[in-house]
Amino acid sequence: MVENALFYLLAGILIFFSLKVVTTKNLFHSVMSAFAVLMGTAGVFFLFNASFLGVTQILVYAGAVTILVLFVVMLTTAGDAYKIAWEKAPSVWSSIVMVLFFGGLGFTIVSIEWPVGERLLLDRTRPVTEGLANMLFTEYLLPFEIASVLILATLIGAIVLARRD
Amino acid sequence: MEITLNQVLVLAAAMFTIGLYGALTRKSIVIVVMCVELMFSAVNINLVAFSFYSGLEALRGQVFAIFIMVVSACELGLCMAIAILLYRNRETVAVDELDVMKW
Repeated sequence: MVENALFYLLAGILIFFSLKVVTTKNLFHSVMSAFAVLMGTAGVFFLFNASFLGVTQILVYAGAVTILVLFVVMLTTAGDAYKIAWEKAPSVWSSIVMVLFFGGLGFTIVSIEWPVGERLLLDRTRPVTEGLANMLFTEYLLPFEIASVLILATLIGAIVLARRD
Repeated sequence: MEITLNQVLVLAAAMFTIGLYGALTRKSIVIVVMCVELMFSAVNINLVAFSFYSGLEALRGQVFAIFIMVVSACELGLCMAIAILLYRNRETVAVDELDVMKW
């Protein structure tokens, strides 16, 4: 089935590039791998009929986050002390701890009987964005406004922090 | 044979673990923040998968994912401002050299 194949392909991409983010020594390559992971996440969103979220993910993470982080990487590796490749290779013990953590998490997930309802979103002609807008501007209106205040506070905070005074 | 909820949850758990590992072991503060973004993405995959499989309240998970995206973008912006500030004042962004608050 085509959805299964797509899901496994996306899962492979996500795991491979996630590992690349945490193992590569070059900071630039690390950020580009993180970009690939975030795009793969957008693919997973599209696969599960979350088209609005998928587009938002691409806009926010491709258009804003990756560019911003790349700028910061290049600005902070401009001096003599730190070249662009100065990360260390991961140690064995931390890898073992990570595998144990993942084992515990995976065991918990598999052992729980998750309640699964009727899959209304399986119908891809169903308007998702309209429902999202209805929910966002009625039931979640207060969190929505608080989020915009948070964005304004972040904007001012970032300017105040990074300003040369 | 369809994609089951367990498969998606295990994928998100793997991404979350890798992100946590990176956030704890990487040296550059920029990559640490990027790994935190990876963990946020794993959580968003979880929420979208739950909303896909949950039936009647199908879109609630996606609304939560939108709010998580807003908060993670704000967090990343502030962290990048802090990284610039650190580089200007201390000339380093290596987290193991930033020990002014250690006593």
